[in-house]
Amino acid sequence: MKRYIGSVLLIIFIAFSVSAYYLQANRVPWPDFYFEKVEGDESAAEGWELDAEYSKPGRSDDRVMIGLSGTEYVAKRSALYTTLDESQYQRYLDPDARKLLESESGFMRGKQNASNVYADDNALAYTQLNKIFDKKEMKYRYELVVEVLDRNTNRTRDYRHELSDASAYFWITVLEVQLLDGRISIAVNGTTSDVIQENIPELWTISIDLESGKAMQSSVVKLLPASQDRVQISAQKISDHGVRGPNPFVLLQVTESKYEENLQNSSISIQPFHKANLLRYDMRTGTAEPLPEKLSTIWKNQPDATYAFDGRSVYQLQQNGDKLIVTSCDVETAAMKPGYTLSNQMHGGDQVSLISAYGNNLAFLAGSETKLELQLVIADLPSGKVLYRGKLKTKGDEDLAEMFSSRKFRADKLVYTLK
Amino acid sequence: MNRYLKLVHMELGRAWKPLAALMGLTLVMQLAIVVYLTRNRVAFVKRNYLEEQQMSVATFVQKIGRISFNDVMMDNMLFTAPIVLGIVVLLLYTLFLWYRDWLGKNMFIYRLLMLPSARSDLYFAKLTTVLLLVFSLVAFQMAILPLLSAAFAASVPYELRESVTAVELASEIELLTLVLPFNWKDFLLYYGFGMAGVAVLYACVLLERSYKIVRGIAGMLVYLAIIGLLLFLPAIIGLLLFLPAIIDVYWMALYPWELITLQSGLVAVVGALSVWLSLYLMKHKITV
Repeated sequence: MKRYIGSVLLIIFIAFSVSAYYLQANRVPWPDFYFEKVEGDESAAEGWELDAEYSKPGRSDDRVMIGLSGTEYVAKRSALYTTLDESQYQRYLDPDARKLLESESGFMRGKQNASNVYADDNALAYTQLNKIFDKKEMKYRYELVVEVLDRNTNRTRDYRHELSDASAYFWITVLEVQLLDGRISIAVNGTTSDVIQENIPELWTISIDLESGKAMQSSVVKLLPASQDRVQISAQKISDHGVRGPNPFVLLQVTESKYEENLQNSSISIQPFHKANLLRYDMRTGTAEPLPEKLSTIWKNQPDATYAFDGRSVYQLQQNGDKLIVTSCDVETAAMKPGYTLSNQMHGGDQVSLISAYGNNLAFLAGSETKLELQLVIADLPSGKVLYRGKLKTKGDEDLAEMFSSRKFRADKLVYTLK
Repeated sequence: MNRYLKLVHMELGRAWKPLAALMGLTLVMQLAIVVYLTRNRVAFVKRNYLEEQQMSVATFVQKIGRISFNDVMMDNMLFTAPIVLGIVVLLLYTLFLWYRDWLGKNMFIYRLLMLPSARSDLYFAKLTTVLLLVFSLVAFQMAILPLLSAAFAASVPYELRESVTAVELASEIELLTLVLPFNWKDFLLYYGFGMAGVAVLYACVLLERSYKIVRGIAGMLVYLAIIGLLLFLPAIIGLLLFLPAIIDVYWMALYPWELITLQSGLVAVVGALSVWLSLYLMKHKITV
């Protein structure tokens, strides 16, 4: 046995070093955060997570997810799995869409854009826009590929439709997919490449009859700016969920940006000026209507309002110091509804931040990062009733206030995740 | 079993010198670079901030921040060079392990093949040796991390220093995160794939030894083509089954966990196939 002492020692050394390293790696020396209930029902806050960064001086920042169930450092996840998952399904951040990947894994295989999915109890639909280079014509063609799954019979049908005049556009994207009156309707958004009408967003709907496969196209809606004076216009869909159920309306935030030249002390500075209006696009008729002016937002550098859409009403969430002002409008009737104001009810001068909405829930952080108290507030979006309020705390000796003041900890956003 | 252990011990005995040299080189180079760069940084801070700008230590810490291992190393190539060298040397040693016995002065392989034990013992002993050599270097790197951390601490005055643990230190250097992945599942996958690679390399060596240069290399190419086909099976499945409609990149056809499971399974099959082929060649084709 003495002869083998060298080999035995080597094996002991390997086993000891590797296990000691992974034991140490498992006991992450970074702090544990959690939310301590102040009022309300914890079930209302389930699924909500604070996406934050913890930075120990001298190290790169570590992304940390903090929820009611505790803290998870992203570095502890499998790097291989995370990289693959992010590269394939980075648009499936929405929990409902994620759920669909699991429950309908066969149909959803390879379908990577959550916003191109339609789901109801009876059917699932997915649309992809393929850009194909035509070597004969020496130009690009756009082709819509649509797959529809009958969830009752498990039968899949697919349709193809070529977009005519597609070469006139800089780019084209699918805005929304819907099953309406026995037809699959696809709202499309494109920007013209015409020199004179540069950067003019256009909308139209293609509807395909499920039985005959015959396609029809609505008239094109051009989103023209109010004036032509140094104005850029862009349209962005306001999403309710990653996957939508039956709803003929697409809500768009149409932003006009104007750049004003200011002459100050013989130097010219360009100041941006933005105005966002809300537009309701009806996929049944292919028409667009502006929503009330009261929902518009004007800003210079950073917008102080965001929008949330629960499928029926649109909500403007406007931050004003320690207050969150919520204005809402019924999308179908375009009638304004009574709004409400939420105060953070903590310290005067504290901020409301990281406002986020998901489904019928509204979440935000109340408090100041420079003070000890930072609270997660979950409220009912339509009524404004506070459902949960929890204080952010750390386990052990770590002082949260010190962490904030030394910028060791940064709260980035509130996200709703599948649990 | 006893003979297999004896053969492992013998192979380790033959490998300990290059192994010790690699370990020594890693320790000396990493230690030297840590001490050198850290002292340089401390001298720079003292000269530029504390003397020229007459900053107090407290002001420096507040404005610039303490000196950390990460700031000093910043993925320095000289620090990671011994790790790269270790990988290259081990790769060459994997080939050397066989060819040394064949091409050496006394054709030592004849004595090994004529030992009164199964030839598989010899094969597995050589495979185990490579595995142990790889893990020795990995374990050594893990073991010297606290030492490097201590050397860094000794080179920086306490009030200027930002302390980090060994695990934190490893997670900051990109190459180390591959060699010592933070997640143990990644560790098993990376090293599992590595061992399958060694088995493939052994099979290629034994093909060449069995059929000599021309036929051997032809056999090796055929074998590598079969392995390539196996490993790209997910791509082929993706192309045949899912490509026509929606998916335009093969691996998108599989969910991440499916891709990892399928690819790991295929790597295991490739590893097993390589071991089987090697054992077959050793038993039936290699003659003394």
